[in-house]
Amino acid sequence: MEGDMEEYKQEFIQEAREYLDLMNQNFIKLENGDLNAINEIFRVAHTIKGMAGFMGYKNLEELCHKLESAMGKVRDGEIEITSEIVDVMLKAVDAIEEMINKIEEEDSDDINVSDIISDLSEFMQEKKDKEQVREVDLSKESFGNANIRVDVYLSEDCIMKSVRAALVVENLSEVSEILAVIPDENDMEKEDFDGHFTVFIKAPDVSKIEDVMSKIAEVDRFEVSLLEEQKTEVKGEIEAGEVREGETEWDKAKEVKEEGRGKLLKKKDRKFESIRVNIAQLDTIMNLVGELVISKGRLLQIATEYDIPELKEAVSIMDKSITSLQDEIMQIRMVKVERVFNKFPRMVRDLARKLGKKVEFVMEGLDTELDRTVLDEISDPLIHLVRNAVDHGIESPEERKAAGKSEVGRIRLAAWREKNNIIIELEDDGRGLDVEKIKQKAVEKGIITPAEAESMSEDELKMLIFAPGFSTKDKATEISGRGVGMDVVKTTVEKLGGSVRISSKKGEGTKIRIHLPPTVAIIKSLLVKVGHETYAIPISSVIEALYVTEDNWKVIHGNPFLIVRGKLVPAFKLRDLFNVVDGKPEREVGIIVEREGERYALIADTIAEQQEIVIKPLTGYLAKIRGFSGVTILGDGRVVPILDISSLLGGDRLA
Amino acid sequence: MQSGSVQTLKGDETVQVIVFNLGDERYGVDISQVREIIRPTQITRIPNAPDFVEGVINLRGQITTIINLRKRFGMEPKPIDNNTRIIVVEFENAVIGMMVDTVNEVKYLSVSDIEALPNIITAREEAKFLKGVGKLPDGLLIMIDLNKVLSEDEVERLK
Repeated sequence: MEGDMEEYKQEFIQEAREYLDLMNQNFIKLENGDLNAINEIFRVAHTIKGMAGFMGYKNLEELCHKLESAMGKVRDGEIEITSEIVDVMLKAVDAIEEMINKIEEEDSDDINVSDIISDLSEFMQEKKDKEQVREVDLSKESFGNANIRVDVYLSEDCIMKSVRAALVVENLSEVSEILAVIPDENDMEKEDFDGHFTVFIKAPDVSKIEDVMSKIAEVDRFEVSLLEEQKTEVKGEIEAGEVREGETEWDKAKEVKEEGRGKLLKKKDRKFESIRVNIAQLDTIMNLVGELVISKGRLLQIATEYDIPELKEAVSIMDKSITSLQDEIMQIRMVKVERVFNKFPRMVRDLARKLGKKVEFVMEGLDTELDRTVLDEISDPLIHLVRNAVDHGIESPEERKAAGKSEVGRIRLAAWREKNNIIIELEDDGRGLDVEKIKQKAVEKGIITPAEAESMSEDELKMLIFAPGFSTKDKATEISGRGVGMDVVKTTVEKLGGSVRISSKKGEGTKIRIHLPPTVAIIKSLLVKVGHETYAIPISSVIEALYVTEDNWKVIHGNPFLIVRGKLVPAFKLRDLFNVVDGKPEREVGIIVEREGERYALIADTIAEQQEIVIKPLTGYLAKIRGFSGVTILGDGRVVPILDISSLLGGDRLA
Repeated sequence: MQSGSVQTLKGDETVQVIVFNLGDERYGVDISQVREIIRPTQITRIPNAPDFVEGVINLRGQITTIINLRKRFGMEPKPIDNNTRIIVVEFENAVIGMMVDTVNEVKYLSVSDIEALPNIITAREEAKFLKGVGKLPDGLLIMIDLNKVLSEDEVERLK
């Protein structure tokens, strides 16, 4: 048994975390008046309790039990949902999370939760006189909904009867909705438990139940009997009161399960649908595919160099397979944005309550998919932006009322796919950006000179909130002043090859739009030569390339510009930026790139070729280097730096 | 040379040290920190990198940053020649190569034969990367402190 436990522990932790997410989401729904959420929380608390009991984490089990009972009271209408109660319950959820963390690190759930338990008890105490009634209601409801009764007799020689019983219940819960277990889990723990117990369930199909039961070891015998559909009056009332209906309830239960993906104890036929894969392994596979792409490049080069048509053909077939493989793996790495978004409702709620603000938080496009790496990277910046929207964006109810707005502020977080980009948009109807204030602040902080401030457009001024060292609030609050600044948001997004845009109207709100590439690992790039050195420029930022002769140049105020079809484009000579001293060719090329909607020209010697490259990050000393997002290895083994347009051009000249 | 290493083997606790040269000085680095020693290959320069960083190489598919230990120690750089070697070390999950003039041998050194450097020396700027002095029958060996040579904090501080 010991070994099994250790094996299950990791899965238990992962699942418990998924359930916690679910719980958090449902609490927010509940507070917003969605009564269906009660049942889900109840069920989730029950599931975690069951798993904790099975794994032997008594503290966790008790806390879940308390939470479950409290939810029971809420469900029975004995406790009215108020923000205070939700606060206490959320604290319990946090404590559960803490325990899970501790279990992961030290294999112990020893966290002091007596305060929370007593708080929870207090809420329940208020209605103690109704306790008896509740029990009756619960049991009535449980039996009322049940359509199947399973009597289980465990083998005489079964050593841990209670654990085996829990396993049976867990397995049954995979294919049905468990409504009651008699005797209950606590009684099973007792010495005199004889191995006979009865489970009342609701399931559409008896054969499935028999199927599941027959596969469990150490069960001496079992009896599955159909109960009559008894639609008693009592049950009818409960259903009406709780907006529950038999069939939808079943679906919902299934839905919850589906969301939980792999189960602690897996249902057999679901194994074919999905398996858990270690993220590190996925990364390794991704790297290997990267190596393959490089090797393919190498082969192609050899084929061209020695002019071997057969090899060329073989490589082109291999190329097809590699491309499919690459696509497949990219697809596996894609995760839904809801993984990150789901944290936000709870966060917004807590923040708004703390700040005394009223906020309606809406999320859209939760199933939009992003590469896991991109999503992980973007997670912290998004948290910052959402916090900012609540803290700085949305005004206090009084302020909003005075401005003639609804007291409740609205924040909308949406994600969708547009062509080859993923767009994440955060919009609030708060106070908006005060351009004058930004201007003043930026000058004060020495980010721009007063002269610059006057010459800047409104959009440029708004972008200043992303400048390092900028914060419009006079005092950094506990909420927003947390080290991650708006500048980090921008640099992170740009490092991923995306861009941030902001639009805002004073008094009406702010909209921040983030464009992201769905994946980052393999990109198309232009290889250019500067002297003897080769550099890669991501194609995504390239608009066009053209030859440059002396006539194309114009120097204004000491700064070189390139004339492209009559328009002046600021030019950067890579030769100078990179201190290349080799001889300069007579005719150079200008590569026109776009950054934040502006065009710039990068001047190189020649364009070598266009190629798919695998980004390898720079580490250590070079991790934070400006101007490069990483390096790549070419087919011939050469290492080539990849230009990062935004940080390359973010130098002194533009600031 | 051989006899030297055998002699020091008898100490209670010994370390194996890779001995390399920078100019006239002999330095040592604990072998457990060293992954391999290679000859210089094509190094790709990374513009705007700290000046002691020579660039990066492709070490069997792994991007490896190469630092010039002479420059890191504030010594005059020397062109790459036939004796030049790169000592590849693993440090905080990153693989870094240190370019040195030559690598001589591997020596056993008794722990008790390594002395901390006197404060008067470690306080000096060029000596801050040094961990101690190892006594060998044929002279002294300066043990370098990889933590200080390679940590990014140290780089930040230099800026």
